[in-house]
Amino acid sequence: MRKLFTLIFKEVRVTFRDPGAVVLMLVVPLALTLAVSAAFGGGQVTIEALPVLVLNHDAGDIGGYLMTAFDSAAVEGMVNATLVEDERAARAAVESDAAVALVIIPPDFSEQVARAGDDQEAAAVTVDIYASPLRPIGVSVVRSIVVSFVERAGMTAQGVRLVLGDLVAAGHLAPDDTAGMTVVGERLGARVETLEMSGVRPAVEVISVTGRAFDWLNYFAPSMAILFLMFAATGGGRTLLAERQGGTLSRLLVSPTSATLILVGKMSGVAVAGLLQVAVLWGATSLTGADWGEPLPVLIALVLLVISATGLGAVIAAWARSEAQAGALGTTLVLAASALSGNFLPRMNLPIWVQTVSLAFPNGWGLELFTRIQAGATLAGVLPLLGWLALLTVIYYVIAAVGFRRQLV
Amino acid sequence: MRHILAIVRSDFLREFAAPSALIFFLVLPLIFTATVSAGLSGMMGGADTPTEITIPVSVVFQDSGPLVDVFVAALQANRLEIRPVTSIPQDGFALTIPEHFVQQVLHGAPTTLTLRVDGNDNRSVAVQQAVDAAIRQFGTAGAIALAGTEELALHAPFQTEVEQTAFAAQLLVDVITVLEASPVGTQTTWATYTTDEALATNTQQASAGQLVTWVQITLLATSAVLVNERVNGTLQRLVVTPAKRATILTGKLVARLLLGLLQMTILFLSGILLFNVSWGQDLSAVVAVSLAFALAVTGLGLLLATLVKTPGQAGSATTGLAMFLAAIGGAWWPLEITPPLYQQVVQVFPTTWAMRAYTRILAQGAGVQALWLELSVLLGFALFFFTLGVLRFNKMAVK
Repeated sequence: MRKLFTLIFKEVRVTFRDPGAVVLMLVVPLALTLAVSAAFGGGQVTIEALPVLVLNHDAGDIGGYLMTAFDSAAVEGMVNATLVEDERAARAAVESDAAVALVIIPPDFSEQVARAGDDQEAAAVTVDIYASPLRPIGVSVVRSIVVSFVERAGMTAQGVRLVLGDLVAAGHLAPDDTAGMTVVGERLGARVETLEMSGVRPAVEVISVTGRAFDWLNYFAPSMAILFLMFAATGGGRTLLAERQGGTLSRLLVSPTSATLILVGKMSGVAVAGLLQVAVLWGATSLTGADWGEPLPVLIALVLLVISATGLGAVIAAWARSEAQAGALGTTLVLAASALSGNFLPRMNLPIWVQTVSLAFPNGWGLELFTRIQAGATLAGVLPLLGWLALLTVIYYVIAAVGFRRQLV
Repeated sequence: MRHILAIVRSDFLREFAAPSALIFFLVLPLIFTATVSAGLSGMMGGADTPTEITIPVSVVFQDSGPLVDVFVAALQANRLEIRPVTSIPQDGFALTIPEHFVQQVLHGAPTTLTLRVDGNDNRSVAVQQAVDAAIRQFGTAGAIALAGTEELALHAPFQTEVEQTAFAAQLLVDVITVLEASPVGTQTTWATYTTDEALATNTQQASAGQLVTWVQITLLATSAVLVNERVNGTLQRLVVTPAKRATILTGKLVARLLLGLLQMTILFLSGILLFNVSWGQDLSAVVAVSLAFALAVTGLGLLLATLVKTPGQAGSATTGLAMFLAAIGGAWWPLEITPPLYQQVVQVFPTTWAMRAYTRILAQGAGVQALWLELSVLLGFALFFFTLGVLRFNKMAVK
């Protein structure tokens, strides 16, 4: 046991004495997590104060109401709309990316809206948007506001036309009673507005399973920890090959210490270093506001992930022929696994088959685990996932054992 | 020149001696491009998806009827794939349409739908927005139906409540179908330099971002190459040959630069052939930006070589710095969604300017002239890094 601890301690000490290793294990994942935190404003994507220009050519009144749509409570703070008259200057502003978009209301806009739904004269109601291609997300926000406004205007116009038609058909209004129709139309429009403001629209109660909205920091903190744990663990296995090439392994093997103990000591050292790594990252990112979930399932998940990642490192060390080959293979596997598992982009957005393939690696299981844990799953709730990860780990170590037996016999 | 070419040839042969070089050079970048593109499409949809990406939502129907169907059609029109269920499932998004939903809407009475989202799923926002959009359409139609019914009742009161409700229901349907009959259109014209109206798709954005990421790794590996040679003693042996120190350094740097440019070329072509990426009509813009960026990052690699001591440190620094610069500079996520202060601060990194230039080429069709600012800044970075790197390198060599 003393020899085992000596080997472990030596491995950990060598690892943490190497500034390069410390950079890759701790500094880079922390820096990336902080970058995400800064990029996503502490966790959420924010769209604010989009500069939008509005050019109103409408001969009627409806076009003028579009400005109120941009100022409405629903989009408060998101859009900063300005009415302009100089189209050329406005287009130049969009071209220089000083404005997200120029919304051009056509001269017959009110007329188009009034005719919307009329079987005889129906046509698409079209608003032109001259947009900056450098801000597609902002443009889609502007577009949705415009569409929402025009839809509402079109439906109201259709409603008024139908009611007037019914009143005329029932004889309550003369077909040529324009004044009467105007009164009814205005009353209807005002009544619709009053009804909408009084909350007649259905409400939506949003219940989040996690009690909060999606948070990029919460996703990225464990994701980066897993990714760089994989780098460290696969790199740790490489040191075994370095020892073999350097001749120190053969010296160890002729000592009274058994080969098995040497291997176990070495890989345990890699695992302990990995545990220290993830513990530091867990603590440090938690201080920046990342919420990993309930401590107990997080701890168990991290321990199993470290052992699994070390197992993959052992597989590489057992089957690679040289340190360089192990380095290349390790980095390749880690990066491929990270791409397939969703270390860089939320996993749930990847095709299902890609998510399935990623379960051949600790990364995939790690992200599945933390998704569940952050959703409030207890230890019992993630036991099946932990079981599968444990099975994968056993497979890794069996493959590694076969390879080491081949190497060392 | 002969010495430089010899050094370049030697470095190229060494680089591609191991088959794994091709994996880093080509295979991994393509895997990343494909998965990042798929991920971006899953998040935001995109012009390059043959069918719109829909988000599945389980729906519990506590009310039914033609008007409920109309509401469901509105949900589907907003990118939701509706899956009727009898009870709320454990996972995924779920919506409950309450009892008497339609009756409440037609009478202007309060009614609440319940939407269950997963806070760990970044599509939650998209689902909420889709449900809000459908409710807005349906709610507005409901308000119009209610107002219209009240107006008609003023002139000719309905005989029964059933008749009134039936009238309101029909009016709601007639109003909401105007969205199909006279679809609202926004004709979007993009402020581009070309007549090509295609906007940069998710795949194109992913392609540019991954190109920048992986080429950075190759070019920053200049540091590992130089440190390896120094530690192994081969650099010192080269220095005592008739070749001048400047020639040796130039040869090493040119070799790395050419490797990076070769990788860029392969990735450009792969993007075009495999992912249909359109790099605009001005090839000279692509070449100019690529060359300026490659120079800047090679210079940074040289500077890095003078700051690290061992090959291990160089390797770690290369990977770490490349990933950090790529992430923070807009290669992994669009800078558009970041706060204004963040967008200002990251301008001190060359990656930011490279991504900006590539995005303008892809999205605007910008040519060399239009990219004068981005090119000037990248060349400025190159000058700065090379100057500092050479000064430090010479100082180290003197010691």
